[in-house]
Amino acid sequence: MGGGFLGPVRGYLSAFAPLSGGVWDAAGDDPPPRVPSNHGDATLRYDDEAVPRIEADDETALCFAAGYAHGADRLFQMDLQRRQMRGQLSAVVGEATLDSDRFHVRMDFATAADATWGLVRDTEAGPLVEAYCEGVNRAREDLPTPVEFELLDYEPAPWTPADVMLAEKQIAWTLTGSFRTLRKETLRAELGPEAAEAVIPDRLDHDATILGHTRATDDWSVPDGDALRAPVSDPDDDTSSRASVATDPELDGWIAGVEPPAWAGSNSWAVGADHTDSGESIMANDPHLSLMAPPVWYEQVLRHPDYQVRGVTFPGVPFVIIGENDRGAWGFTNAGCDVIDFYEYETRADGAEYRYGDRWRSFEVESRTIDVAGGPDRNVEVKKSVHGAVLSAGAGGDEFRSELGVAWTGLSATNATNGILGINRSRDAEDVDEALREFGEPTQCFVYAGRDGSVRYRVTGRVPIRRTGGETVPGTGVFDGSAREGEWAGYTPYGESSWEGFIPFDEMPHDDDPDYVGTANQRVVDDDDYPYYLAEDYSEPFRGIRLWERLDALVDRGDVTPADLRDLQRDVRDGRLEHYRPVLEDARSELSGDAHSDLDAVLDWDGEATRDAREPLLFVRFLDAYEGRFVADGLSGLDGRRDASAYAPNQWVLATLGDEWFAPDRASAAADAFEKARERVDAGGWETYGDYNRTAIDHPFDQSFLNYPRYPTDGSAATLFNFRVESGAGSSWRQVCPMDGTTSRCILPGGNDGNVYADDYDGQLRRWANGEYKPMDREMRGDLAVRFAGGDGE
Amino acid sequence: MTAAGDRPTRWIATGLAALAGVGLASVHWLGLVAGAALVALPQRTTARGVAAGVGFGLLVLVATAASLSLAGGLDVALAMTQPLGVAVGVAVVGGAVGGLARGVV
Repeated sequence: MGGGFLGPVRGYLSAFAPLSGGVWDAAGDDPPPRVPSNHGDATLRYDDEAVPRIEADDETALCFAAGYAHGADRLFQMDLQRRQMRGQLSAVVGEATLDSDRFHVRMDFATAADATWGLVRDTEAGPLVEAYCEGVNRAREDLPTPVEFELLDYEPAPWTPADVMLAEKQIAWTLTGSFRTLRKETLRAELGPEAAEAVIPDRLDHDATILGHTRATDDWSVPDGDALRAPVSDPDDDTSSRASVATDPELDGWIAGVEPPAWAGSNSWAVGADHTDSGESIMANDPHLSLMAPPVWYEQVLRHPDYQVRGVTFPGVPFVIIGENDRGAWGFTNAGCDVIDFYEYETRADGAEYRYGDRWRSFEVESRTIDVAGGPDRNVEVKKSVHGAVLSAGAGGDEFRSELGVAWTGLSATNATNGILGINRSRDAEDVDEALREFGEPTQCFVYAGRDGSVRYRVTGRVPIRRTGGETVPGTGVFDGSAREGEWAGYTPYGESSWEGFIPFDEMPHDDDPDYVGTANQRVVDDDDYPYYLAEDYSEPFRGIRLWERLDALVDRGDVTPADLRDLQRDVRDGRLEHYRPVLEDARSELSGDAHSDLDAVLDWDGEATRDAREPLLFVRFLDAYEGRFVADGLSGLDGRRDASAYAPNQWVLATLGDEWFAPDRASAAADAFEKARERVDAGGWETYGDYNRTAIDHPFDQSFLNYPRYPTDGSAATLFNFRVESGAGSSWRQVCPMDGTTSRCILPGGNDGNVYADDYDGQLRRWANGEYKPMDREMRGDLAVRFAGGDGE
Repeated sequence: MTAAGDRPTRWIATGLAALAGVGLASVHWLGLVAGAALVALPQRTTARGVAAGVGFGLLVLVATAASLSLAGGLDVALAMTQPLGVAVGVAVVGGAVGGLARGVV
């Protein structure tokens, strides 16, 4: 959506005319001081960081007011996200988003959200969600339309409970939607099984698992696997004896373009009371997501007579997702569990029917229209099987697979909404445990610290146990859906699931009393120590290794303080340096002159990715160039129509690949990459890492007046202080929460108010870039913005 | 409807027209054209009418800037290159078009 946004915009005059233009109206978005409500009294204050502080005696009044604040501060962002998930972006931005819309319509996330609302409506959360939506829509009526709507010349539709559920689907898809299975099968088919395993191995060789770490999580109770009637077959085996089939390049290109990025991750840790200076536990969390203007998170304080909670939520969702209440603090990191599978079918009747076991069934087919601004509307066929959505593109034939069924837990009704509500209300760790039973998606590593000294670690969400006949199988290949391979018992896409065939809650990986725990998306548990197939792969362990190293040292020293954990969140040691040392040393013999000197400087570097150093600049640019060289050399055997870079190994694996992957050998490839890195550094005019490693956080419109300013910062994709300059991602929220009664600290990469005219539009960004924090208190302070009055609070 | 020959009356009429015009322009973009037409009518000639219309357009721009300044958004608005360009264009062209009304009465 970048650049030239005025082209398709109609109604210039009503948007931009002086005095009457809507773009100028948005500058004055102060809400009316008194707003009638059907849900009882509430007050909305904004502090000097634009954080709403909302107080009410009734939860529906609280949620109505929260909805009002979200509608006032983030309405365009909410609408854009809803449009993405519903496949309605092209209706306002034109043909550029057609691929995305086709994908989201054909996955039919909207119907999954409807099913989810059908499940949630009659629960405790139902009336609260409805009150929240009323609040959003009241703000939508009371306040000037945000600038972005004026620029695109459309009015937002009312916010609905299904939209709230859709926000849950969006984050769940972002964190667990992956087509890795298909990529690996394509590699097997086109480069051979050994090459596929070398480039995309299922497990990485390290010892930094979350569970089983000596002195920290080594006394967790290993489940006995009661839900298994048969042992899991060897993950190294294919799911069937069938030969691997590559995905059609056209289908490959389409889904690669809409696949959630693989870098979504996070850090979270907790240190138990025995090891802290105060004698109370401390926890920290920083989720790594897209860095956006405005931020992906919205910060809020909710005060109810029974609980006070502060933290962040996704705009469009009423409850605090990551944060703390008066009894404890919690956070999430992505667990990497495998909750998606792919199926192929034997078909007949020109593809209208598919065999499922002994019977032939008709695909459910429905025609939908995608509205396109400035172009012809498009018809899309939404096709479904017993497993879920059916995606297709390309001609297929014997060589390629062009149609696939997709089963994903999020296509079913899920109940994360009540899970999150339960955590907001929780009084102790047992309440939290109970709330997490409801948390169907996404699969996350949950870390909790209570003011009663408790510490919890648990993997949340529903993970399927795949069965082929009587045998349980891993989800590492494409299943023969017609032969009923890889079945998920108790799963109903676009409806309510019983989840009877999933890993039972009590057998999901957890430690109810870790001394301390560190999670950074590394392997949850060694396969030998856990009876169920949990994940196809896990993230690179650079952060996980460093996290355990530093937590161990802190606990050895003792008397851990919140300041220690803030320092840990600011850790910028890049573990990739040691991992790539053999590669760099190989390159050394091939270089001379200034390049040789520069390489020596990198080899002598301490690995601290700080803004004022030159070595990290050379190193990260070398990594990019080296990956590019590998793609050109090592993946040249892939079908030429594919984007080979989508098949690149992760950086842990890349360092382990030897001469056979490069032409003529690894040393010369690494030397060439280093030379190229130096050229790019010179061409960019960068002297130090901070010249290159700068915040580049842009609004979806990519207009200078909407984009955030650029600030130099530290850290890299592999450091705990996480910033990925090339992919525009990193720590999207940082919190450090001591349970000793002192004030927690937090920071957002931007500002809480999404109105470009607001003083706080980017108010926290510089502090975020510098690793600073602000207080995270739950007081009802700040200027009174709105008094909600009326109703009986029922 | 012209007030030719009566300078103070013309000034008063122009002032009142400008006041009414700003009110109209704050409601709808056509109000800017209508306001420009109103301020043009008391002028002696069509050329002066067009000039008064353009002047009125610029007055509306100043009023917009004042309004944005009061709301604390002037600096952001000044950074909006494209919308700002359209606003200036609308003020000048709309004012001139409205000012042409002097020629048809």
